[in-house]
Amino acid sequence: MSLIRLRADGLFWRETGGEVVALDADASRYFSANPSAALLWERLSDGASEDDLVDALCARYDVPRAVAEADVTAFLEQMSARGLLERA
Amino acid sequence: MVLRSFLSAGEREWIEARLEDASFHEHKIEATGKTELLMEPNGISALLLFKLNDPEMFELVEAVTGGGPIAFFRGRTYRMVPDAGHFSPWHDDAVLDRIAAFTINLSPSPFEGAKLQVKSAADDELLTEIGDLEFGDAVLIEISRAYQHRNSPLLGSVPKTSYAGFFYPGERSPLAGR
Repeated sequence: MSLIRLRADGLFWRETGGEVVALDADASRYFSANPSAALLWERLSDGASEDDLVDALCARYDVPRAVAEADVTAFLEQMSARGLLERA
Repeated sequence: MVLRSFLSAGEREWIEARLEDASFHEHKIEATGKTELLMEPNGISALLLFKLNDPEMFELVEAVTGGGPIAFFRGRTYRMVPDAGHFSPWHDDAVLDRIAAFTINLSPSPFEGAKLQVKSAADDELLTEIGDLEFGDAVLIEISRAYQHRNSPLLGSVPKTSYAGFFYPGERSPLAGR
């Protein structure tokens, strides 16, 4: 299963108060991620599969797996559209 | 207060690669008379703004200076070129409710002169002089009418590139979180 991770070059981020604030410096574009998205973001910093991300959401929040899968898919689509991800 | 290696090795490498393509234009700061080349906004500006608008950075500056609360940081990247008429006169920056000044050395190659000097405004006594900054080192400067600072003349042939700005009170930067 392929791993997905945050883009290595030009992407800077920090966790602040449970949220993630990030900068795509190549595009001079800032992002913020709410606590659930921040959980996924942090997993992606180490590299994770889609199943890993769904597992992380289910472990942290009391949500049905199908809902978590849909949320992870939507999150990854948004991240990919912004060029923030790499696939190993 | 000097912060050695304020920029990480990765940040220095990222910045150095992009400095070569950065655009600068002549600029004069009317309030102080300082002349320099001012960098057009780019990814370097965005990264340094991101780094300085960090709540942990705000807490550090508040603890060191006793000022605050800090709400945001604003800065610019500038370059001084030898024999180009660029100079930094004595000034105190004590306007607009500024809490502290901060500068980062962005010069990948060592330059000569341009030492950061601080003097007493009352009697012109030179209080400190910092001339050993390496690429990525930073300096936090107290703002007070009691002190003035400047860069001594830039010598040699290597330009000096720096990021400099101020911590302010007011409406909190969204980059600093809620």
